[in-house]
Amino acid sequence: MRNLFIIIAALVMAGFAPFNGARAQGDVVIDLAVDHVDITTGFNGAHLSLFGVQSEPGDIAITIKGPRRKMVVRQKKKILGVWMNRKGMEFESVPIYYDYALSKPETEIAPEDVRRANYLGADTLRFASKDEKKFDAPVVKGFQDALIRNKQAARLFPTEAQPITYIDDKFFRTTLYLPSNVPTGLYTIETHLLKNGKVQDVRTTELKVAQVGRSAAIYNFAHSWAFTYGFLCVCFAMGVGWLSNAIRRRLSS
Amino acid sequence: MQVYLPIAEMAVSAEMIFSVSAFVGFLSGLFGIGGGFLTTPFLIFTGVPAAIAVGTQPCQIVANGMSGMLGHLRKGHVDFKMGGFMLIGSTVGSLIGISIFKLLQYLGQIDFVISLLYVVLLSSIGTMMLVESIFTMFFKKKNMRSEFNTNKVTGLKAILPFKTRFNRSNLYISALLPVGVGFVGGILASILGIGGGFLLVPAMIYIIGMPTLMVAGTSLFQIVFTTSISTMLHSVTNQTVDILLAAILIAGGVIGAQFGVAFNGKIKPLHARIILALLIIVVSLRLSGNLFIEPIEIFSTVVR
Repeated sequence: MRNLFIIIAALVMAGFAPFNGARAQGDVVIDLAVDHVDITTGFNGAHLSLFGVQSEPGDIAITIKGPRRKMVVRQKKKILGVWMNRKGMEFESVPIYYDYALSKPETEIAPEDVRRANYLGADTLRFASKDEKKFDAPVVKGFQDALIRNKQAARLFPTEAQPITYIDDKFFRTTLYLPSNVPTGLYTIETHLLKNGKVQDVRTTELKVAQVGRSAAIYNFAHSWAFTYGFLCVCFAMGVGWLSNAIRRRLSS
Repeated sequence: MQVYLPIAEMAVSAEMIFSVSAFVGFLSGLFGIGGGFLTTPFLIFTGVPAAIAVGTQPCQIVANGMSGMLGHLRKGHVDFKMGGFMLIGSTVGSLIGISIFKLLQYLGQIDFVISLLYVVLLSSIGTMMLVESIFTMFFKKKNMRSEFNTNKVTGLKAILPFKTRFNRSNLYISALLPVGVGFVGGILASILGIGGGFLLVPAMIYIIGMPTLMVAGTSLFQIVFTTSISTMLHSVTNQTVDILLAAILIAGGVIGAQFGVAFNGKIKPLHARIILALLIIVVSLRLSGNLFIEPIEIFSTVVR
């Protein structure tokens, strides 16, 4: 098992950004030491270590969101003694991966409306759906909760906030985990600086998660040359079959 | 050792996949079965998405079937004309099967239909085999097969058009029979990710009326090409063929099969049939749990 450590230096410096004239309270500046996670054949999840510097007091909240996809949640019902999917609800744009870290307990860092507005916490995530009008509000909530539960079971959504630990007054760090089934794509990391429950500034940075090397070559080949790829798979299988027959014959004679 | 599968986009334990495919390979060498009906559900249990399992398993069957077919070919036990007609049916069946697969996936019923088909097919075939074997054991009737009334189908056979002569099998029957049998095989291969030998072999004996000697080689000939077509179709339409997963499965299958073949003479055919029947029944019971037991989480989420 090999874990990939990515060090992200998030420099959160109040009053350091070049365009701070309009803001009285201070800005957030983020920089990434490594802006990509490479998925190779040996990939088995990665720890994402974030380091940051803060020059003014305040609370830090970090969110990371994966690429957005359309997702369908289905509910099973017993029909004629057999469990099968019945009702389904389609959600337009759900981040495939989401995690967050807070420097203070959830209830203390900001009031609920601020947390909801900035997606600080799995319970603040609400996803829009075209099917919303088809069902009653409690049913819709049931589907939304189920979506979060399913994602948590797949370890793609967190069950609680990751802690942000301070090394001293200014330096802080946190570790986020990307499991092995993490989807590829562009991830956004948002670092919020909060003071007395109010967001002072948000800085966004991006993280690229992609297959590299042989793994990426196979993926790209299979997707862009699907016919040739399929044909080669068949040839490979036939070749191995022929070879094993030849070896067996050689051994038995 | 964890291996990241590039197409499935997930990490799996290589040892686990290898040992299971080696075990199934052992059984296939011992009983002369393909074993797709055991490997595909297992892959789905371990968390490989159904689409990837069904798309990749045929690739393993190609290797397995090829090895077996060559052995029969050398003895001249392959009826190419019969196999060719079956292949016409199975190609059409595969194309339709892939469309059904995509439709069911869209409707969210693919897992349900796969489980249901497996349970129905496996439980009926397992029970039939078990009953037949136990019957043979107690009444010492060596040839139960001749007891099956083949005359029932002869009436229908006489009406069907396109009569063709099959010299190898010494038959003069309608070409629609092998086409029809192949058609069913093709649908099964593309929806369930299996070769379908356990269904084709009895169909070829009882419905087509082929001599038993030609059945194994001809069904393998048909299976190799049907699963090849199925692999190609899954690759082109869904990109669900994972070559790394296939390679682990093939390696395990090939190695396991050698041990199975070596073990072949050491077990009585009747006992082997009973063990296989019980195994099939156990798998079907395990799968019927998906259908009849209330799931812990009644909601499921998929990316569309």
